Amino acid sequence: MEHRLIENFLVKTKTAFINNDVSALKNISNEVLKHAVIKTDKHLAEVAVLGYALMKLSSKNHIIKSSSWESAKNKIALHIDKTRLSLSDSNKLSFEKEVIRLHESVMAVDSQLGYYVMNTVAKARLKLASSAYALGLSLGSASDLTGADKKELMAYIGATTIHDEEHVEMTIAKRMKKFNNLLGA
Amino acid sequence: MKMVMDSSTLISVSSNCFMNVFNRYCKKNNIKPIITPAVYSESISRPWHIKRFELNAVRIKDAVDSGLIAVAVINKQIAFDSQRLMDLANSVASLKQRNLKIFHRGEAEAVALAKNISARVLAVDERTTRTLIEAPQSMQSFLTRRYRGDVVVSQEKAREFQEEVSDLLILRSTELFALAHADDCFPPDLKTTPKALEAALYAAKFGGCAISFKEIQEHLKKQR
Repeated sequence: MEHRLIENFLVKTKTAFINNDVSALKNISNEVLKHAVIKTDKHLAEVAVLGYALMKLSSKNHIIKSSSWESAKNKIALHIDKTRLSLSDSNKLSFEKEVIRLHESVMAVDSQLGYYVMNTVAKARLKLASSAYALGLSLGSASDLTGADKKELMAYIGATTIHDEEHVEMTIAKRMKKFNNLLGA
Repeated sequence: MKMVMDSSTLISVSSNCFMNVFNRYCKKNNIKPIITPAVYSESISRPWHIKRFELNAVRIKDAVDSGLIAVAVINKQIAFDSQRLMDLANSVASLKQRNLKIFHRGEAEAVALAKNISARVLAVDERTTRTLIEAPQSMQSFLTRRYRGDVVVSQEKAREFQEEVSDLLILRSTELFALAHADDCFPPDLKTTPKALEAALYAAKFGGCAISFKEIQEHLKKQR
C-alpha cells in the first residue's frame, strides 16, 4: 500500500472539499487515478473515487444549498481524517474499513438529498473505470481496479469517443471473411 | 467449431436482445460457444441478485441451461497458461520502469482456454485484449499519447505474446451480428434489411464494443 501517497492525496482532497474547490477535486481525482493505474493499487483507486464523488456532490446546487449540507460536510471531513489516521496502523484492513465508512458517509448525503437511484460513489467508480480503460487497462482490469460493474462500464464506454480514436487493424468484412474461411475449412 | 466468448461479447449479445439470433446462427453453422467459469460468474452469478442487472443474467443463464453456451472446466494446464499469459502481457508496457498491468486474469483465462481446447476464435468486444493479440506493437503510440510519453513497449515481449496467440481470430459482437445478418438469421426477431444491420452494429457500439463510427460506416457503405 502506498501510505505516503494516499495520505498526501487524502489531505489534498479534504482541503479542496472544505474549500468547495470543485475543479481541484476533479484534478486530484484524475491524478490519483493515474497513480492507481500505474501502481495497480486499489487503495489509491478508492481515494480517486472519493475525490470524484465529492466533486460531484459539491457541484450540485440543490445539495450545497441544503440546510443539512454543512453538517454532512463536516461528517465527511471527519471521516477523511479518520481514514488518514488509519494509515498509521500497519494493518491495511483498518484502512479499508475506514474507506467503507467514508464512502457510506458520502452515500448518506445521496440518499438524503440526491435525485438518482444510482449513488454518487457508484457513478464515480464508473467514470474512473472508464478513464482507466482509456489509459490502456483492459475492461476486466479497469473494472477490478475501481470496483465498477462490467456491464455498466461497457455501456458507459460506449457513450464516449474512446473507441473512435483507434487505429483499425482489421475491418468487419475481413474478420467475417476469415471466420467464414475457418468455418469452411 | 469452438468459439470462446469473453464476458464483454456475451453481455453485448444478451443486452441487445440478440441471444435468439445468435442461437440460430450458431446452430445453423455448428458453432459451439464456450465460456470460462469466471465469465459465468461475471455474467450470471454476480448480477443474479442485483435488480438493475438481473434480466441480462437471466437471459445468459437461459442460454447456458438450453445448451447453447457451454461452461468450460479450468484444469491445471489452463490455469498455468492463463497465469503465464497474464504475466507476459503485463510485461509488454512499462512506465518509469514499472510494468503496466493492463491484462486481467479473466481475459487471460479466456485466451488460455481457447489455446488449450484448440478454439480458433475468441469473441471479445473490449479493446485491450484484442490489441494485445493482434497488434501489441501498436500499443506504443497509443500509450505514449495517453501518458504523454515515458511509456516503453517491449517489442520482444509483445512479439512473444503474439506468437502464443497468433492463430486466434478475434470477433466482436459487431461481426457476430453482421455474420448472422448475412446468413439470414435475424428473422423472426428482425427483418434481414440493411437498416436492421445498421441498427445492430450501432447498438453494439453504443453498448461498448470497441469499434469506431468510421469502421461501421465504411462497412455499411460497402453493403449498399
